[in-house]
Amino acid sequence: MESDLPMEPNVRLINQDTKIINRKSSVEIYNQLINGRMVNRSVFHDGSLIPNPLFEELLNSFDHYRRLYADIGFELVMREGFAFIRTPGSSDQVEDAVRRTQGMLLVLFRGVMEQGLTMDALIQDKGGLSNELIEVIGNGEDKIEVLHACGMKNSLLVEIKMLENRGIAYRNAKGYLVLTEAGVAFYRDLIDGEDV
Amino acid sequence: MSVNADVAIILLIENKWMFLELIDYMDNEGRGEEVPMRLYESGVRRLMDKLDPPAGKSDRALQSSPERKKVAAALNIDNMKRARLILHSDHSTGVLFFAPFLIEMFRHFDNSRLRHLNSADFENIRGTFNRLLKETRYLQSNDPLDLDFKAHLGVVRGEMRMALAKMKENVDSLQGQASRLADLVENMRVEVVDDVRKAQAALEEINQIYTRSIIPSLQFLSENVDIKDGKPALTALALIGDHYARNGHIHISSDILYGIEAIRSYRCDIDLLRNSLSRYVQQSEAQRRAYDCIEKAWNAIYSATSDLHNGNLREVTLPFKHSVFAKVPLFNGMKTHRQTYEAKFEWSDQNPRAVFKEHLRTAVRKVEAGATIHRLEAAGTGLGEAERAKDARMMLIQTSMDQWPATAVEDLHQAIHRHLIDLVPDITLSEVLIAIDHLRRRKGIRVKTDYIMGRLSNERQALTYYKRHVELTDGI
Repeated sequence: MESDLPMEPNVRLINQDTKIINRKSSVEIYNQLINGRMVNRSVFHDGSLIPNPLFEELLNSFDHYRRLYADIGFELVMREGFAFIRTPGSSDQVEDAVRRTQGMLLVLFRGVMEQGLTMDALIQDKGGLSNELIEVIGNGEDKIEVLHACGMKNSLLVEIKMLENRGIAYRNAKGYLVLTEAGVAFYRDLIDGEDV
Repeated sequence: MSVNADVAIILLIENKWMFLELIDYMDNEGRGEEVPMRLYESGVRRLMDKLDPPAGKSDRALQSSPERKKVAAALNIDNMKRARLILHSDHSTGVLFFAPFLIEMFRHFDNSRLRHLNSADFENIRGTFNRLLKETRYLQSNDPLDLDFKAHLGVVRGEMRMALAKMKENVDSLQGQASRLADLVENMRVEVVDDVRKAQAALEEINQIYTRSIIPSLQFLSENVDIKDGKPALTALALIGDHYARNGHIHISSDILYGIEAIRSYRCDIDLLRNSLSRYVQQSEAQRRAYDCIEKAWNAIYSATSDLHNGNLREVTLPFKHSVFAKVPLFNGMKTHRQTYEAKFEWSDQNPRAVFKEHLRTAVRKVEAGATIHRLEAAGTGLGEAERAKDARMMLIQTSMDQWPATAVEDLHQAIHRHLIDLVPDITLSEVLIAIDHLRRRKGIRVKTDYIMGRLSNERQALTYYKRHVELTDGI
């Protein structure tokens, strides 16, 4: 039975309703998720933040993608503003990644506060942390100790690239480090989870 | 030399920054209206330097400068005392007091420096109205010609006017201060430490204004509340008006009711202020909470690290299952990161459905005609006329855009529209967008968005867009 929907290249009708999967986006989403990257609601492109078409694709056909990744053994997690996949069970590699990420974010948060800034500096696109400031933060003795204890032997400036590779942080137009939606979600969870 | 008060006041008004600095000192130090003499004298010296800059002048020339002589004579402490602009100066403690009217006058020059009322001021006004209510009830005579009656009425009217004036000054002051502080917070650059420090101080001040002035102002204007000692201020005033009405003084009662209404009208302004300031109060609260939470989480992880520490920092890592990592389980189980991944295949840009449909159309016809072998024709060659026409039109747009002389234009949409209108028949606005998209890929050109709204229209369509301008890069 033919659908009356207009067909574009690279799309596949997954049922007779209105769900359409964009194959190119699907491949790109897979590419990002399987490499441990977060798919954020916005991406930095050409000097500004723009809506991420991959996130929109995931959001529009979430049930389909959730089943798809469940079939190949992953849990697709959709949080407000970003998505990623979880590996079932646990391994040292996975646990180490979580430990590093948490440790690094806490070092950054604490450093921002110590420098007399507010968290807006790390959250707002117009703000951001310069490399010089990240170095100053990473040179603190207590920060080095915590980074070591979380399995990071290099300087904060080197280790921070992991956050960028994973889509937890990005560089804004000035080249300053800013948290993506995934990074901000960690911060919000930290605030909501702490009983002050 | 004795200089008159009016000359000294005019000189101060012409250079009001000097007196406003002294008012800032009074407000910040919290020592009433006491001002150190050295601060005043330093202000006078700076005023002289400003009016007659000392650069390149000898001491003699400076001493004989008429401008300096005028300022020195007029603002000299002894002269100011003679003119009753300084009430008192004490050389042993080094402080002086200005006449209150002078301070109030300069406060009126700047809304943000007006004095706002606090709980004690409001309580004082409320107490006065309650006292007047009691006195009204015990008036011996209600004859308008009675001297006691007239005196009492004069006091009631005076206090009511005073309350109204104070409330107006209070609202002006709050609006001025709120606007100044909100500007500081809104214009903060989040990555600049000095800006953040100033904004945090401004948020603290907003908090104080909110709790010490806005809330008491609203409480003062509330009328239906139970107060242990007496009545709310406006209720007391209304009861005084009732008393006069019952005794036949309808016009006096009306005057009082108008006065009440005038005071009551400020509730709306204060409500507006409360609504706008509550956002900053919440922001301040959120920042404080964020600071506390991060401090707590940091202390937990640093304390756990210190427990592990054996002095050499080698091979000492926190266990994965440590409680410090369990507090925020957001990223638990996230896929490990791999740097390299290549897609195994790429989906072609052809429309498989259209290709297959066309294949069937041609192939089935050939089958019916008794053909033997049928092959899928190359994509696009057998597509319908409409598709071909569409492709040709797209090609025409692309060719036309390649011919577009790259120039730095302020409004790219308009420029492209003008360029294409002659080259492409019946150009549509959506095709203008396609053309701009094509232009972005051209080397030597950078298209930048200005975030200024523009509008383009033809007979059938209208397009609202952010204006874009073209910059020529080195490649051209």
